[in-house]
Amino acid sequence: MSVFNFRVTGWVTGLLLLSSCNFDSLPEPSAIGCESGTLTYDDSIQVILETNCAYTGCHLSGSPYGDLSAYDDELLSLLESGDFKERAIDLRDMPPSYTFGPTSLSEADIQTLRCWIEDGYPK
Amino acid sequence: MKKYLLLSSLFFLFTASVSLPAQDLVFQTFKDTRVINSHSVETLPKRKLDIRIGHRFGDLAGDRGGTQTFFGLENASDVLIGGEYGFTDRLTAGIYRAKGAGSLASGTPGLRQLLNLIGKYRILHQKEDGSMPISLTVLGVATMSTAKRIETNPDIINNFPEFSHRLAYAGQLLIAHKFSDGFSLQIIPSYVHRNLVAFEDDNGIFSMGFASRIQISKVFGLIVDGTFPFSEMRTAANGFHPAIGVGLEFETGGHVFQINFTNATAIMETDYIPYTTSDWLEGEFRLGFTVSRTFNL
Repeated sequence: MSVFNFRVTGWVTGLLLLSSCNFDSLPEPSAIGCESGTLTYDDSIQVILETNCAYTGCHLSGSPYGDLSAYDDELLSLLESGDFKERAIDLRDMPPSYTFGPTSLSEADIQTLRCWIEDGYPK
Repeated sequence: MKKYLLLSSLFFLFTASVSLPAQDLVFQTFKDTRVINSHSVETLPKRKLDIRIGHRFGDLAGDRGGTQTFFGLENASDVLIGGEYGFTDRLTAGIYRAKGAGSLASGTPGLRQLLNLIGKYRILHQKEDGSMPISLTVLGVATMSTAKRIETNPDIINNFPEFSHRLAYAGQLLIAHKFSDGFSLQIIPSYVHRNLVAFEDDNGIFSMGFASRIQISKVFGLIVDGTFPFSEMRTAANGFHPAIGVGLEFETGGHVFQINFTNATAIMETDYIPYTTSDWLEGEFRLGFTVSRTFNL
């Protein structure tokens, strides 16, 4: 292919890419309406994690993916790093579609987890 | 005798003038087509295929590093694999897959599961005689997220109300000067455009970068680069930091192996320029490496 053809291809590709330029932004994040001090790990969160995350083959003690079966350093590390929030609440690709357990969190569980995290994940 | 001398002189002048353009060019301003986070002014020679794997581990120190993650080695913040081809000595194009790693300071993720097209064209080549003092290459990057659309969460970019919201672009001018065999310097004016951004973020971001290479032995080179976005939102007070990298590069035949430390979690320009929120001073920098192998096709 000649250099001329490369240039034509380059310009056409460039114009096509530019033609799909948008200047959009997300709306203001919706208010969650969390009440501070109402959610604790023991009362509300442990059951969600045990049902959806901490079972055989997934996030149990010794798992290379992180242990979500207890309120200890591993869970706190995932919470502090933001990884837990990113996967479970923002991207919602946890739990994944290939597990033997539930393959998604309910909207109510997501809101509960979000409020608990925003409140500083109390024990 | 005079006749032979005249013929020899003419032959010498002819061969010198023919070979002058190639010899006159300054080569290897950088040893690789990348510095750390930034591209270098170099393009691939014609008919060379470069297969490249890049990796950025987790935070070495800070809240997410230390012994609990074995200094970040148990985490992969971004992984890139792909290749590029030298269609001519001036034109290089390639395709790369990257995991995507950048986030806003709030923790809201940027684009993920990225398919990246890159095109580089060398416009100017520095000359030994000083008639052309710089090398200039233009770089274009187009990124598309192949991540699943998350319709249930309208607060994140992965909600993708339109297909075009999966796209982001970067354009850069790479302007370099090789001062000596031991020292090269490059400046990188850039523009990054994202079709969809978070609330009150900027779709378009201008930035200025720099890169340098210092040869410290026959095999080893010290490399450093930095990218500074011009955006009122991207300040340390808002949790954003310039992407700064420092590393070592060594050549072993057809390989260029690079080991580096950078606070950028992401590898591609459309990712690390708008979304670097890690701070060197908080220990939020990571080990990274790039392995590159060039093939003749």
